[in-house]
Amino acid sequence: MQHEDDLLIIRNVLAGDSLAYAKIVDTYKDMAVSLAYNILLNREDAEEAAQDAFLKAYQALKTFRGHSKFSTWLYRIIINISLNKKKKKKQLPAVADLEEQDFMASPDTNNAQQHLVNSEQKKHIRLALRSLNEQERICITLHYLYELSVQEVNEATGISPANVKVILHRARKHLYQCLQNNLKGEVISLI
Amino acid sequence: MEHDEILKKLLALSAEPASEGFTNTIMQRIDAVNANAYVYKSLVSKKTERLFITVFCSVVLLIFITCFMISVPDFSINNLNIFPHDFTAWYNTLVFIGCFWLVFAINALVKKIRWKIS
Repeated sequence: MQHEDDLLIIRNVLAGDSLAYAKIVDTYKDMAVSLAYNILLNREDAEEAAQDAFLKAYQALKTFRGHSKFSTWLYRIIINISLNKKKKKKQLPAVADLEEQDFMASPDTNNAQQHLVNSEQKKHIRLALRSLNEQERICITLHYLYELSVQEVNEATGISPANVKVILHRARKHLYQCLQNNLKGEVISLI
Repeated sequence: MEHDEILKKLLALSAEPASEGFTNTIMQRIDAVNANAYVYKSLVSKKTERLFITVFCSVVLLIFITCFMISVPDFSINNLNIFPHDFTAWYNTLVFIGCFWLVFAINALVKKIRWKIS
């Protein structure tokens, strides 16, 4: 359903209604920033990469044939841009950056204590994610968070389906180990 | 399967949302890209244009000086006779001025047509 909606919007954009593109941006902006963040591990860079990706996708919209989902096509652009950005920067994320973000106010958290607990949990999950390598982070985000099939992950990343399965298995195992070490019993209580 | 659900929830918890002005920023950048596509590009570069104007002004100034010198019989400069007073010299000057204005007219016309198309 989403695929058909996307195609309709793309047709409108190509017909000259550039404002229609805002709907696509609204739909995928959080996913785009999250995916870029999991590659770049820096909030500002992730936002910049996601913006560049949306702009590039807009400029290359004529070349989108609609054989695959728009989201898969967009993810591929985000991954390429983020990896290029990372290559250029080649900087390690500062731990201070991670800690600073944890204290950013969450709009739906009224209780300060609850917010602190959430921040702590978020921090542990992010630390566990950081312990994975780049490929593992990308695959696990696409497959588990955005619910892309192994075939779609292959289309978005260029990694063969067999390799995707291996990476997912390894990443999942490693992630659980890390989370269990860091959070202990909290993993279950989080849910 | 249950583990997958747990993993999804954990990943969702750590997901990084986009900032508030994210969509607006992108739409502004898209507007800028669209606007750039219609920006008029001159046929001649800025440097050449400046050179044309300088040459044109110099020619006009020279014509005025020549006219002044011709109209005042007592005004004499040594070796003034070196400057050719024949028809070919005037003809060449006129052709130069004509070509100069022709190029500028074509430039202006192209500019108008492109503006209308955009």
